Amino acid sequence: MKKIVLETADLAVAFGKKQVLQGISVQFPAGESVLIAGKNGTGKSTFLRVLAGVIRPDRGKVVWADDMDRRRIGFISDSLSCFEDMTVSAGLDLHRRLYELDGVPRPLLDRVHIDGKQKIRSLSLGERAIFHLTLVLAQKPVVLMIDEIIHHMDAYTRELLIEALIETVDSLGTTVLMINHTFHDVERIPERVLLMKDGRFVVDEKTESLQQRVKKVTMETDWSTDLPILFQRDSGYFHEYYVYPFTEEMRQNGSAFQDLTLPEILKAFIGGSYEAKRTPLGR
Amino acid sequence: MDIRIDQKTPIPAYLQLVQSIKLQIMTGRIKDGDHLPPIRDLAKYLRLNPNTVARAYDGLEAEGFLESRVGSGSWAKLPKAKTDSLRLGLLESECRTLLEKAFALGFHPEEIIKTIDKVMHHEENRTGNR
Amino acid sequence: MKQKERRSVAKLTLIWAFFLLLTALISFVDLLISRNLGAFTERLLIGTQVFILVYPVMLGLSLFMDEQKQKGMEYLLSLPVSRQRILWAKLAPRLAALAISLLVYASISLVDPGSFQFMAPLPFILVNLVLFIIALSLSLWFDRLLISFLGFGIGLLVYAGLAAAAFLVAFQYALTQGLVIQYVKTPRSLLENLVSSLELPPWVTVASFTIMLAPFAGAFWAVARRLDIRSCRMAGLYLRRFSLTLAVTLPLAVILMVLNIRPQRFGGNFFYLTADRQVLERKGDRLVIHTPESVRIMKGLGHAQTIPLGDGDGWVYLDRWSADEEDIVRVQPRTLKLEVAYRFRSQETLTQGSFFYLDDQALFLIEEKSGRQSEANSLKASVAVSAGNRVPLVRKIREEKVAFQRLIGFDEWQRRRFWLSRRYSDGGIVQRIWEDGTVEKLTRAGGSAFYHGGKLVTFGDMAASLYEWDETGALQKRAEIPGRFNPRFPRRSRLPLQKGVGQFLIFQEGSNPLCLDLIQPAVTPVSLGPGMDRARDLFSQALVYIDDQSRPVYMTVADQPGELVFSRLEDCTWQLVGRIAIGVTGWKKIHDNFWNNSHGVVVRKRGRLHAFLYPDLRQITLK
Repeated sequence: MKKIVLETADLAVAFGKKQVLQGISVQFPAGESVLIAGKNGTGKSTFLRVLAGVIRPDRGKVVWADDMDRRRIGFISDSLSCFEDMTVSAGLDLHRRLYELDGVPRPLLDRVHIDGKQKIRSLSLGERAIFHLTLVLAQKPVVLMIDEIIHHMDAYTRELLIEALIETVDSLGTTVLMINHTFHDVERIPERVLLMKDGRFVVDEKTESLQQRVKKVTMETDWSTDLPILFQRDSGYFHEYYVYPFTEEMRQNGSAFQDLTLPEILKAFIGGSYEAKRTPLGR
Repeated sequence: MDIRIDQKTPIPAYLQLVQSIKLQIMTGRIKDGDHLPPIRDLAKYLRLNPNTVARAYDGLEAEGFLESRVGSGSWAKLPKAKTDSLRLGLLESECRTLLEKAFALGFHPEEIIKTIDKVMHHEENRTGNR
Repeated sequence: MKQKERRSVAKLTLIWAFFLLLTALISFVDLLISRNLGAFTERLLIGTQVFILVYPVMLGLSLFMDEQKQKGMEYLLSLPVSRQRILWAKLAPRLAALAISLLVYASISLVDPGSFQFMAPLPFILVNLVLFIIALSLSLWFDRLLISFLGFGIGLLVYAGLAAAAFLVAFQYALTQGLVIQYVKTPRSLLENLVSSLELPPWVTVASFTIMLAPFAGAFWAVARRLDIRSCRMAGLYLRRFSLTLAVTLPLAVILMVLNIRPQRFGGNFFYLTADRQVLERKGDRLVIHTPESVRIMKGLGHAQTIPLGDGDGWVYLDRWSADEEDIVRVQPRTLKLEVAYRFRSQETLTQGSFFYLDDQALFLIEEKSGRQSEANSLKASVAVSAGNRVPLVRKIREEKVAFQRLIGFDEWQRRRFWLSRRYSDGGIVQRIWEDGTVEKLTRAGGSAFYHGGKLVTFGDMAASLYEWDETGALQKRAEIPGRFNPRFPRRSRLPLQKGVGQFLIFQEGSNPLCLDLIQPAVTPVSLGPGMDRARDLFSQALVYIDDQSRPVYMTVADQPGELVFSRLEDCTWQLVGRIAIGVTGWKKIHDNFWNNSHGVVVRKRGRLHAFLYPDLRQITLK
């Protein structure tokens, strides 16, 4: 049983009248890579911000491991916020001083040819993402929280990001929480998927098991069945039925159940506006 | 290393990795004593979580196909004692996979055997009767 | 972190200093052009003053400006630094800069106190802090300095407007309730007097104080919310809720006050009954005229001690605007016209015992000024002719250092005015002072002397003597009534009891009322008549109105607790006319709620006015 490095207890946040997070209780063991997915506006970024300390929750707590050092919590927000007027070098230096680091390694920056004298304002979004990644990796983070930045990045920078992530996870055993809903290239990295809807996690499963429990059936005609249909998509010619939770016994039904990639699975959940039932999901 | 992880199958990535490396070792593509890539590099290459790769390496080590030394990395091993049964086991599981797919497509056993024969002949001709 | 903040503060200061220098430069150029040194320094000072106040605003507004502009807020908040430290790192250099600027100002003002005085140090510091905090509350809404200035300016105007409005409403309320009785004319004296004399209801004070707190609460809340500091947020939330509640209820209260929904409270302290059966009431700066049918209000009077003076159709009162100026104003109730009949200049004051006489033409003011024992008293007589024009024509008749003790009367004889006075130092000589200042010794008087209806009565040790003027203007002794009379002014009497009515002179000796018949000279004790037994003991406390115009004299006395007894004097006998229960006991309360004059009596009873008219005390209830 791995050490729990971060957990939340009944975390709730409301902006005005709108309840954005509704009593979330979840645990993150050390070294786990987690994908947080969901439709826009369901509260994913808010959740991450609460974990990072940017927003204080109205209710509930964020509990870190006892020996957690705040300086080793890395957070990249989706607004990629930083002080625009500063130069890159100044920004690195500021970060170094604020987090009491020994130094900020620059290889990533060099690989995208970011010069220290450039103003942060002049960086493109992809470059900015690499900049923030540099900052955050210099902290030797125990926990790394990355909001949706992938879609800002081109293929090359994305590759850099993935490599950097993998390295960090390998060398430091970092716990990574990523918000992602574009699924470019990073879908193999997370071991666990949290799907958020209306301020709650409706799905919390390992990617492996998720792939075993969601299948697709394609029919040319309508299909009436009493199998649990998560989502149904009808194009002109085909009707696609996504079944969840799937068990092996269902194969006896005779239909051809197709396996799905993780992005497809998540799309099905989101498209199907899946609602979590009160009882635990078939565990 | 020629490894491809199939996203679509429900088989977990680490298992696929284990099977793939095992296959390569057993077929000699990876020789006994060859240096296996470090977890990080393989993870980067395959775009996998290093934990996954680590799990695979642990699994390989448990089955005797891998030997790791702290500081030096990992080495491939060909566990002689197990080879034959393992080879057979691998073949059987591949057959099972093939049969599953064939049945799913609606083929009868006779058609399947006929097709296997056909393909085998093709391969033999192509590779020169191995 | 701190370094970064210091840098931004330094940058701001430089900008500000630049503008300051620019102002100085402009003034200097102006100096060169106009070669007017005075104007230069003046403009320089004005510019400096303005920019000194701009500085705290700049400092406050810039608190989160960098983050707003540069989208650095989230980065800031995710740092491993506690919120308090972040806030402190931002506030500390700003507060330090503010303190330095204040020190600079203080030292300059110390060096040259005369020229640089713009505000006293303590209020200046407070103003700076207030501006700073208000600017803080706005710092989270704007990301550009210029726009934020606009926002701040507007916000400040609104705030000042609200505060001024609230103040004016409160003051108006206080006026109508007669709470403010000070002499106010300029806004400054208004403020001073308001502060010192106001007895506002506690809730008004609390409410206005809370409204003034609102921007502070806003600042608290805004900063706390943005930084999400738990404890600040809670405190700010409660403050905000509290002031929000009051901000909602206060307008309602204001509306209530404006509509005067509260029951009418006669805050006025003077009532006068006119021959037309109108009651004139002074209320704050208004004259309220009550009739049985309606109430009319006339504005424009001052706020002052009112002293009823003359009589006639109008009502005259003394209006004091400031410590220096007093006006005598005549009011025509029917036409509701106000005339300033006389305006005292500084150094002129009304003293006890001054005489006034008002007719259609003129107001005669005779002032006594008593000097010390060795000095002579002086007499000053002035005539203010105000034939319908507001601006009085004041002509001093005479200012004489006339040695006299006190004035005892005033009369006209053959259209020549004269005053009678008595001098003790010469053994009690009665003398006559003519309008042109001629002083004429008349006779010797032992004890007191009285004058009524063309007759002079002196009281000596042995007898009372009655004098009359004959056709030639000479004083002739007509009668002598033996006896030892020693009339004294009773204490605490509103009017002196020695006054004549018709042929009678009523005076009091000790506690005994005596009646002197001037036609058939005799002195008889005043018999009190039935139902007036107690009146004898209370005579010293009675309110007696005695009419000079041959009309009956009335006396009222508080007989039973809460009851007034009215009597009329006929032939030296008091005839009971009636009793009124006024519901208040205690002489002071009676005084406060009861007024009479020649026409009748006005009683305030439970907030309503009732008038009782002589001779039969017919009651009219007024609106």
